[in-house]
Amino acid sequence: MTGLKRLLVILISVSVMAFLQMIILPNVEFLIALPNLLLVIVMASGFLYGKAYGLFVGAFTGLLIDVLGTGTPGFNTLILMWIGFGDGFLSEKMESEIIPVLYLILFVNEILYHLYLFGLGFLVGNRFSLLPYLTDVLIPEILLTLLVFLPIYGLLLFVSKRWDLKINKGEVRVV
Amino acid sequence: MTFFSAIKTFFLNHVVSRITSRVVIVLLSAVCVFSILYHYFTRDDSVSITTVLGVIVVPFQEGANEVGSFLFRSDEKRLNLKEARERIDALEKENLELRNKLANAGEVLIENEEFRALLRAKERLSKYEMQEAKIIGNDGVNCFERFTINKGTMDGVRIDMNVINADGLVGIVTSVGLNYAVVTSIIEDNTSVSAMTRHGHQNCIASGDLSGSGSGRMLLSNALADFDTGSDNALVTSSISDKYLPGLLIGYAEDVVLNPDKLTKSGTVRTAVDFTSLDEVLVITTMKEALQETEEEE
Repeated sequence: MTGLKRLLVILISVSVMAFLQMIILPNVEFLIALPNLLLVIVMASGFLYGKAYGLFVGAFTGLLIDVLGTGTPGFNTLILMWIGFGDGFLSEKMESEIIPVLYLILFVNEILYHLYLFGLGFLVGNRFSLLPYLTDVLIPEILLTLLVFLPIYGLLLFVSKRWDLKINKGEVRVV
Repeated sequence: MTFFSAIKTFFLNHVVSRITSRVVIVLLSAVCVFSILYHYFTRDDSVSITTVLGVIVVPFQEGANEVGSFLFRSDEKRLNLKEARERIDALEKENLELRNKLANAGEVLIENEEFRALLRAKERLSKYEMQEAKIIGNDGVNCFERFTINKGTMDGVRIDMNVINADGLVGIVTSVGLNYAVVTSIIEDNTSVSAMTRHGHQNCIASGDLSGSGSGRMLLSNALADFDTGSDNALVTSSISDKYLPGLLIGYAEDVVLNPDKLTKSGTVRTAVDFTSLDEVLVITTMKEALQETEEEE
């Protein structure tokens, strides 16, 4: 049952976030960049349910991005899979979840993700130049993602605790 | 029954228990890397999982996009309506002004004819490929009779290429180095350009004149007795010239008088380009010979 409930939570949150990130938010014109909601979901599921779920959600959302976006299947799948897996691995090692540490990990995730996009982007035909990429994409996106992280993670945490789905039974602490 | 349960037990004990997430991630990574590399080397998007899934996903995506734009763009539409009303007011005002202007249309019609001739010249010019260049050296004292520009063979500049600026014909490239070229301007003492009137296409020769070059004047000669500039006295390079591309503005014919021999006319040409203050020029990298060849092909 636990597994089914986890899958249900993940499926709903991924659909909602994908809908928001790919369909609603690009139409909102005052946003200069988009928060990476799907990365937040990948990280959250890795943290809440462990590395197997992180891996699954990463692969699933990555495939979703690939299908709707760049056109090279596997490109986003690969990195998001590893990010979810890595976060789950970290979560299983951590005694308790400290919010600033979570922020730090999210930041590292973002950097890794964009390093990958930037570094290997030529494989799928992206041609970015570094400075505009940094100022127009990376920095606004990281700020926005950090901003939306806590509400999303908090909601998932609440649901998971309510249904007793969480893998790491340690405390969630602010400091 | 026992057979199936034996298989099931074997499967659970020896296969499922060994499928850890590590195995899965390594396998999936391999698949992803293979897919990326396959796409990188083949650039083949025709048969892929994206296409297959796209068939399913895209209609949903389009529908959702409609919803998204409906939700978040309607506000913008209302704003635009307000803007549009303002624009209508402004346009009505403009309309009134235009109606007044219509009364003066007769004059405009004549001007229009002239502008059209200009436009034709401009269209012809836009066919040519140009190379921007900056003047980096000047042989003359204060008049650009012969000057050096900062583009050479490396940038595709060759001898006999025409040099113009925004106003009109400046000169012709007479020698060229790797990263520089020397341009002799049309006002140089022994240069002459075969010219014609923009409208009547009557030929004459515009030649550089040292005495007049400071004031931006050239000599006009070899014009036939019926040479008549009419209302438009602009002279452009003639199509019979072997080096200059046709239709480049040279200047304006002035003081054209009949010579004592009663057969030819001569006068002066006020150059369109101000040769005392040149800074940037354009080298037309299309050459006359090449132009003729392409025209023959056509």
